[in-house]
Amino acid sequence: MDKGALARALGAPATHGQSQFAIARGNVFEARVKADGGEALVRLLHDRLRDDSPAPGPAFPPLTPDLSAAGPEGRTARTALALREATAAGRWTVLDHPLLALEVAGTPAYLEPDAIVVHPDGDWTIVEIKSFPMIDGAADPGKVGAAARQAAVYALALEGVAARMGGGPGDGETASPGTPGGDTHPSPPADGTVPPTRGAYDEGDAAHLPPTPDTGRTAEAAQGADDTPPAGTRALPAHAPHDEGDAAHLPPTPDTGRTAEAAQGADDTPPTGTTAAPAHTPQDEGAAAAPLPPASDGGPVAEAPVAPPADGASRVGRAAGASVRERVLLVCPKDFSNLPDAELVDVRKQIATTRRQLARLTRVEDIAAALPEGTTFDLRLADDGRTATRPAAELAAAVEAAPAAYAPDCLAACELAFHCRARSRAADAVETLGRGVRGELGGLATVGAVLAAARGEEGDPADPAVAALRRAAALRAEALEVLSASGSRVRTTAGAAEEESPCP
Amino acid sequence: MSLITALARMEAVREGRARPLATVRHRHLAERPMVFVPLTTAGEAGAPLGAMVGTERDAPLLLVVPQPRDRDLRFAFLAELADAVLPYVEGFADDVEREQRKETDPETGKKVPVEVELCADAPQLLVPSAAGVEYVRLLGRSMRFRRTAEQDPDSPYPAPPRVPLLGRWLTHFGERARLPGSSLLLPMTQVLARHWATGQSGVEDQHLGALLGWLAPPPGTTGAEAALRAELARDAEGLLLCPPAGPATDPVFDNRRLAPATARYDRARAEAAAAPEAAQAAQAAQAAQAPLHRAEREIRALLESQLRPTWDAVWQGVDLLRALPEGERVAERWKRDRWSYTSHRDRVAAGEPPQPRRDDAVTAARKLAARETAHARLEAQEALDDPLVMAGRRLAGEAFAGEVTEVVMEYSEAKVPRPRPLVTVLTDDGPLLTEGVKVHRVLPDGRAQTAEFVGHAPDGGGALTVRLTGGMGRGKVPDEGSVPEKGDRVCWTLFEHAPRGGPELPDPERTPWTHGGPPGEAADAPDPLTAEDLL
Repeated sequence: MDKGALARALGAPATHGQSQFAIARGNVFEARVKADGGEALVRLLHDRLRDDSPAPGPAFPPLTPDLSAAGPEGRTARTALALREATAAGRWTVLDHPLLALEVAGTPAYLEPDAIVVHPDGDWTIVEIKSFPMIDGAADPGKVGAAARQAAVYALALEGVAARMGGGPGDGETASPGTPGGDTHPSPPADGTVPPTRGAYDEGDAAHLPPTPDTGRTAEAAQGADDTPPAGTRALPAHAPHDEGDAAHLPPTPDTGRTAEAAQGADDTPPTGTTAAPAHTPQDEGAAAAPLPPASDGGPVAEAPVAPPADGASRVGRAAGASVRERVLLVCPKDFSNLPDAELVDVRKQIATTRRQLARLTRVEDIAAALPEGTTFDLRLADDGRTATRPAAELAAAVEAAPAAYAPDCLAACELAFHCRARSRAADAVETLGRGVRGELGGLATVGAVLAAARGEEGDPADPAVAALRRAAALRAEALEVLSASGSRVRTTAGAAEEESPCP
Repeated sequence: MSLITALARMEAVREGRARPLATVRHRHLAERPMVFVPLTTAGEAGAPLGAMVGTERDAPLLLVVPQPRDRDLRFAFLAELADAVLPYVEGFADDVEREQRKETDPETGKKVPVEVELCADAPQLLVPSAAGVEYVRLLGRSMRFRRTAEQDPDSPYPAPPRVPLLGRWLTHFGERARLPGSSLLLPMTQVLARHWATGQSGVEDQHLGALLGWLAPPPGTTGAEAALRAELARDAEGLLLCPPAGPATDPVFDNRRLAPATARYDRARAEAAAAPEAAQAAQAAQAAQAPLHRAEREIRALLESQLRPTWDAVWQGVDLLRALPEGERVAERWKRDRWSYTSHRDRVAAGEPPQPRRDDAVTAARKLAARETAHARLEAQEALDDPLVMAGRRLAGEAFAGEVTEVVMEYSEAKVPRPRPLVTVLTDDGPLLTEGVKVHRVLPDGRAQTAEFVGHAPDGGGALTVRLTGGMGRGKVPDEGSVPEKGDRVCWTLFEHAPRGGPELPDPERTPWTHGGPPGEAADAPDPLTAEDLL
């Protein structure tokens, strides 16, 4: 969903945006860091590590596998495969712009780190390339913190990949928990698992869709998995459409046929095939209309069987040993130059925080289920694809239906923040003044209630929050009275004393 | 945010305009401050785009870099900036007064009084926002290690003569700004937000236009409306009516206006560079220069449109602050700033090298200790200067005020008995006291008096007793006016009025090995220069 467009249609556009100068500079710098086949990048990492890993060089150049594939599912699958191969290769490998999937609130989100370096010992390090300068070895702490949080999300997604490669949580699960049992084939045994298939909806379209829009797909994917031999099989996750809003118009199961194809692809793999084809669901409407090329489905995974079984086993063993390093490499321009400088940043804390936050997020399904029937954020774009024709009031009502907890920090992050702020201000909420304001106010949630309590018109004097407020109001009035009595030039104080006298 | 500040913000929400947070001005405001509004190029470190600078609100000097990625143009800008700023900064160096100071005699090790110079006044730089302060630091860092042709004849890209010196001064201003309560370099948003509470959050207060919207909304509008207009209102072209106070520019401005103008400038420059070979006649060469001048003028006009509103806003802030009377102890803090200015003047005059990239262990520890002390001092002085600030401390239980109900004369049990009167105060405040806690108050003559908490009155009701322990002179009879009388209003604080720093630190040359040992002799080398000029 294009939140920026939604905010514009609501009449509260965001001020976010990036200058083309900044974009150009960022791109130039990143290209420079990654030039010469990633060797400079690996050297930066190697220099900072100071471990006994072999140094990269002309004699020992890093590998840079091609990660291009069609569609985000294809690219995540390609990334996972490249990671698996690189882990087994025992060499430096640079994955340029890999694509990872991470489940956020029950829906997969796609993430694209700047690079991942695979060490000769099979470990993975996330690389974040930023264009803010590192001056005398120190960068803006706020920006470094943001980069660390960003990297922590990548690390979580990578851990998921590692787990799936090396006997992680994906194994042993049976068919999608959301799928009505009667419709599915019996789940395949042991390794040939199909991880939970996500419902093909999100906030925007939930109301139009039954909870399990893709029963048939799952069944067939499972079918495909059934046909593959058990040895060393790993199923890739089935991705649900990520795009929001647009999906509102999708029929419940728009892609059964295509998924059948995917399953078919898995069927067609030679009997030595070791991997079940993933059941992909459309990323968005456009993708649903055009069938994905087979390469993005069965293609990358079908390569796996080429390897002899023994090697495959050792790969799995190696893959099981793959671990995501907890220090990420932050690459920034050095001082005022465009030469790269790098520092390892420990993101353990950020990983723990992000993991906890992700676990606590309300699942999108639950949010969607709580929305009234028929809620949609569709802008009804005109033919030019830009102008929204849906009345702002109707849109506002739709947005209103989804609960939001506005705080001023939102302004820096969310396109809809100005809309939420207007709503929050209209509701007289004290949070508009800052997240911490509520702390000392007890149960008083609106500015009106606080001021009334402070004036002694409302509120229980036995309530410590109310008592403190009255005391604060009295002290403030006393100080301002002294001021106005002393005839100071401060404006607005003349009337202030009367207005502020604690009890009328 | 304290409860009393939150309450002030809520009053502002209800009234639709800012409410006072202070009754006096807590920062020094120079008679003739220099306002500096810088703009930077998005995505680049230390590539200024332009600036407005000056001491007269009607006559700002506009400096522009038509192509920020060109080193020569940047140097030209910095040279102009040095010409504008350095005469002002150095203009305070010669007017000195004599001060007595105790210094350690290197031979005897004793403290001896010496007479030293102290500049009678110091320069003051005003920038729009906290980001501006950081930018001053950054500019200072980018310039102070440059080498001029005179310093290093072999330098392939020598800096204009006064640029490294400007770098040292800006570094000094930036470093000083980190000391709480200092006023050499002030960000307008922070100073305004210190004195008034708006009906928005602290995050939003960092927008100078929005802040002024709350402080002085145009007639007929509320602060919230004025602030919203400052934040979001755009013209038909999508440009902000109130451009950001910088140093970052609005991305829409960059993309729609500045980038095409810069491209035109680059084109005109390339043509002008190619022209002289083709056309020998001076007139023809001049004709080729015309598009270049036009392009440059266009960029100047564009940047002026972004800078001028901020420039005016900073001066509007100055007016608002001038309307407040200066706090009593502000001059004392400004004197410290004058010391700071004087000593940096001396360091420059003595030919010391520029400030190092990283402080050595002792200097870093000293700076940290100095900032902590300054912070404590500022908190105490603001409360003593301003009843509204003191009200916040009283609410927090860190001070109490009330009427003296009883004074009982008592004496200590030493060989020479000393007056230790017991004073009972009736107060509505709830100070967080336990027996023996020290409390402080200001005597009418300005000195501080200490006392010890003895206990609450047995009947409750807010009366409490303290025993005076100092500030009464040397005699057996307390000095006149040093003991409050029944019926006096007194205000005691639980915090010290002139907090002192921690123990002395060794000289940098005596840094213990645990902290890296004495710093090396080598002065910092200049930044490496690269031939390709991409910054």
